[in-house]
Amino acid sequence: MNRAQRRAHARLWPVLALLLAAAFAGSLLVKAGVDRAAREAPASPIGGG
Amino acid sequence: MAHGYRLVQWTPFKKRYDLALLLGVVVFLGAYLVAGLAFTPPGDRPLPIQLALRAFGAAAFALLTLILLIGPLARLSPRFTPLLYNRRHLGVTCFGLALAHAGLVGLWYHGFSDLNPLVSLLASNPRYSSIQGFPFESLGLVALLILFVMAATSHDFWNNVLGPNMWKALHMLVYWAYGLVVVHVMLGAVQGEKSAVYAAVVGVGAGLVALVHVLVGAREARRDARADIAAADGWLRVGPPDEIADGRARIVTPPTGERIAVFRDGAAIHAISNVCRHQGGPLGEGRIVDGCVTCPWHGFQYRPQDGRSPAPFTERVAVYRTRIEDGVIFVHGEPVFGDEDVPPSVTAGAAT
Amino acid sequence: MAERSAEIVWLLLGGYLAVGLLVAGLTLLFGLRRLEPGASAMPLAVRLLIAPGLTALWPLVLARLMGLRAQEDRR
Repeated sequence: MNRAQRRAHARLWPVLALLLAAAFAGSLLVKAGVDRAAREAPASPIGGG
Repeated sequence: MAHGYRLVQWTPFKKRYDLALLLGVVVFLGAYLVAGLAFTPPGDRPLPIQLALRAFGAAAFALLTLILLIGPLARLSPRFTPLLYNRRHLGVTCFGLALAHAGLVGLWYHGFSDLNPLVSLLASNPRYSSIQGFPFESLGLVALLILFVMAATSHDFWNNVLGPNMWKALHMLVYWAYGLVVVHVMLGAVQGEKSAVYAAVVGVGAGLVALVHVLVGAREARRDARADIAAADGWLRVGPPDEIADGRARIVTPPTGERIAVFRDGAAIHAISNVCRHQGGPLGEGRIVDGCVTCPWHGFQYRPQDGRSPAPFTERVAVYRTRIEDGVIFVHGEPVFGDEDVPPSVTAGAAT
Repeated sequence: MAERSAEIVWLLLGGYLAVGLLVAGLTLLFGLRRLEPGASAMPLAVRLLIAPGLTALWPLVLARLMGLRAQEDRR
């Protein structure tokens, strides 16, 4: 790789790693919320707020 | 190489590589199907077509993860470099697997509605504003389009037509495709899973890819920032000739411009750009074969005295002036593109 | 995404690729040598192999056919 390409990689990846981590954590949180709601739903017919 | 285009420039190595790739894919798909049937209770068991479309999707994700790991790993250790030689065949295979996945999804989930399956793919899950229930299919579709463009331009013809810089810029889109695929899996398959295995595998794979890229990127940037110090007249100190193995090079980093590979060929010292014209491979990590500097990635060759590829090839890289003073090699940081050869410096102790 | 917008997305993509097919066909028949001098005697199999790329990247292909090239590639 030439200097410009090395610089592009070095700049891109910290940003991309953060985005990936955020998306990963976010989707796990959503899943946890949905799973909890699904477990509680039969007990409270109004909905697991 | 701008001479005689063929479908694939087959070599025995490439044939072994592709055979291993084919075996790997078949074993992966088989193992996925067996595990999918063995570890799900009979009541929850997916239909064969559902299992198959998931197997293709998982294989594409695994292969893409592997593809992205190869580049930075080859920077960390030359042991991984052979995996680079034929990486484009991995990429095309990955697109094929992703396309099979998408085709089965279209057939199974959208093929039976009254709507056109393509329209149904984008319209059947219309909650673009919420995360849970976000139509993750469209993310996969965008990633598939990126993989298609890359697979379609993987032949060397495209490297020559677009130029190595634009080709590389285009193919760096794969990182965004990978990000889209990770989110596609996390919002799709993982949301429906009871076990945490899926999420764990995706997390480990993506985490590893991100980690090695950040580490290697930072290391290379540090190396570029800590350039070898040039004297006021532009000469850089390389070191004594006997510290360079015969036919090998030492790479120096000038304050500006590309890295320089300083080769020793017997008693002759040559300096040549470290960047191969083909795909930017590190020439200084290659060796001199038949009097030519040979790129470690795909074997492109350059004469060290003028930087030109031997006929009939027409590629050309910069060369640099060298001198030896008090048993130490110096190289001038300014590239030479003239028509005359740059004569090598000759070591005093010759024939070591 | 509403059905209407989904249809528009596919229509745009299809239109883009239709123009691409036209450009690809014409380039393969008449413009290959101009695009890449080394490609004048390209075997049919390789022509078919590069056709999808010509279709997907037709704006770039047109630019190259008209002689536009990045400065750093012009040595």
